[in-house]
Amino acid sequence: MTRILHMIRKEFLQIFSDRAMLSIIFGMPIIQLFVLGYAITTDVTNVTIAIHDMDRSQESRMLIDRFLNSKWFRVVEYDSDLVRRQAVIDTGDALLTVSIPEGFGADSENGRAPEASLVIDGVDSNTALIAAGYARTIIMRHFQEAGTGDLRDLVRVRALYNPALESRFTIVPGIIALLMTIVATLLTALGLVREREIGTLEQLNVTPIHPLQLILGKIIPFAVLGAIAFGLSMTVAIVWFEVPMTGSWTALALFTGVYLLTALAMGMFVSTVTSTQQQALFLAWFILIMSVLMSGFMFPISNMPRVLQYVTYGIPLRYYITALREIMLKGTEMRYLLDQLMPLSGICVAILAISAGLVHKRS
Amino acid sequence: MQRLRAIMKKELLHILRDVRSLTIIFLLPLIMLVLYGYAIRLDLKNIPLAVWDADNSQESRELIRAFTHSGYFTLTLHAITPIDPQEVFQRRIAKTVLAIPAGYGASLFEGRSAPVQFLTDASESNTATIAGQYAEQIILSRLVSRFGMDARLPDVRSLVLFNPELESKVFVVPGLVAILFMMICALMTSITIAREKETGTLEQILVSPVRTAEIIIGKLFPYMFLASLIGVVVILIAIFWFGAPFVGSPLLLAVFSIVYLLCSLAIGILISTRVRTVQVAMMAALVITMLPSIMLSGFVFPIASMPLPIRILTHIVPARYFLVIIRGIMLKDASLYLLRFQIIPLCMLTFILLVVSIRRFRTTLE
Repeated sequence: MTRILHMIRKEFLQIFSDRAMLSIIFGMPIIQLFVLGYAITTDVTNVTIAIHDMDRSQESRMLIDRFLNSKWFRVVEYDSDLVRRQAVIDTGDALLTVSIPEGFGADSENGRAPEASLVIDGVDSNTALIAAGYARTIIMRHFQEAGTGDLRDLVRVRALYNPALESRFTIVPGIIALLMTIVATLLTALGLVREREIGTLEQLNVTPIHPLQLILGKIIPFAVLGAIAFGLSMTVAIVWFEVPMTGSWTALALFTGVYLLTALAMGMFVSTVTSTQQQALFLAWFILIMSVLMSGFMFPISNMPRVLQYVTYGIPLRYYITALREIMLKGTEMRYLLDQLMPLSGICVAILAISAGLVHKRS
Repeated sequence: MQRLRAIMKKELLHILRDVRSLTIIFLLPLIMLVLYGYAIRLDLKNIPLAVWDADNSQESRELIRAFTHSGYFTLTLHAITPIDPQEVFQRRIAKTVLAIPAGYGASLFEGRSAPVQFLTDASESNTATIAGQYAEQIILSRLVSRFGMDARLPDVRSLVLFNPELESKVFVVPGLVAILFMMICALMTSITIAREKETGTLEQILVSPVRTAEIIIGKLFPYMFLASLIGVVVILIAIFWFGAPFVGSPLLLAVFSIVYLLCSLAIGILISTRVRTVQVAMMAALVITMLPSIMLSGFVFPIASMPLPIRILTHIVPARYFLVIIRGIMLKDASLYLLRFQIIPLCMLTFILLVVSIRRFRTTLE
């Protein structure tokens, strides 16, 4: 036991003596949370739009007003013919054009279906899709609201848990989960590989310390740091980004504990299969990118082909992100989260066992 | 010249001997391509839908069919008795709930309105936004076509240019190349130089008769070469396997790739001069180069949607300019004139970074 304590003390001394490292451990997550919390947004706002109004009727001007007053769009050009319709997209001046043909106002007055057309730059497919949807919604709503009362009341769409549909609420819990992965997996992997790379691991091996004591002594300090980083990020998320915390802190702590252990075990695993810090970094980075893409952080899992949906069951970040969102935003109770906790714990034990086995073999 | 060759050879050996790093560098963009090509679809389909059909009439069943036949929604729960949307969402049975009130069918025939409710689980805001729009359109267009309630609903036609299928891989390939270049040139160079500093071999090279310029060029050229090689392979695979378009001039792309590579190298050198250990070099390189290149460059997240301070910050991210250039050339055959607002800042940034980093590197060496 005292051996482990000595090991832990040595690790902490090493971390705290390296000012640069320390500021990275604590500064990086916080700065990232601030920058990424704002930068990663799936809200589509300020889309540049060009309007070609060949009708110039009162009806068309009312419609254009809706575009001007919407936060989704920024009107960069207004014209009364189609000459520049293709050009504004080619030059990238506008992402979307709306053309209102002649007779638009007359059609809607006579009860015929008026026509409008959109031209979209599809390069950024996500923005294109959402912006086109917004434009369509603006046009539809214009007529819906101008129309009879019947039409207005036909459908009510309500968003639960996040009525303003702010992507911040979805993204910030995801970023916290990501930062935990970076701190725990990457730093553990680097710490272990570094000892091997500069040769001090051999020195430790000739001391009477048992390999498992060595591992525990290495891991516990990073677990502590991970927990502190988690606390700091949660504070920023709740105080600064005003992400609601509606669920139980106990459930949150339980999931965080299990996930932290999993991330540390992954770090151990990375360190056992690599021999330089560069390799460890690349492998950890690889795992991180795969986790980001396949965990549902950005891209809904239900939208993937079935085969790849099965792959996501093996990704621990998937369960943790789900749990964070469920607990923070929806206040989901523990009994509905067991189906997330079980597989996460299973993966945790499996990775721990594998990497402990590998450590034993290598030392 | 001979000394230069020797340094290059040494550096190349270093790179080639580390098979594991090379494998990852090569595999990462390929797997991302595969995922973006097959797994990640931004056009939402099969959104899980729970229906509470209190009406249970022919009209309500037809509305439900309109939802399932649209391809956007998959029915995961169909109830005639009341369901609690909170519970449906918390148990993750569905992400959307459609509630059809009793008397929906009857009231339609009488010309009264019976509002249909559509609830979304907005803890995933993007899905909720898009699902809400789909639902509104399905319900409205169904009512209009079935009952002719108001013929004034407009006919909106859209045309998508450059990427008609709205495929994300077309958008992602140029971004992958930009990240790959950063990874090899900034990350790897800063690590190798920091490692030579940490292990003390940099001093050994310094006492040899090699000149500073030779060290710099000899150390950097292999990384540029490696980056270009992998970049070309990735682009070729993207074109021939994934069918990504390439309509512009390869020569133009090559020229600006070199500018961007130089820029990445300069950042790598700059980081290595300021740090003492490999670990710090890596973390700094990750934070200064990799993350901004992914998050703040417009690679996936549109810059226009970011708040003003962050938008200003993106102006010092070289990947931001390079992405517009490579996308412009690959997808739109953009001319130099059209890209002038990207080319000029990128070149200026590269020039400044090169001058500063080489000056700093010289003082470190001497």
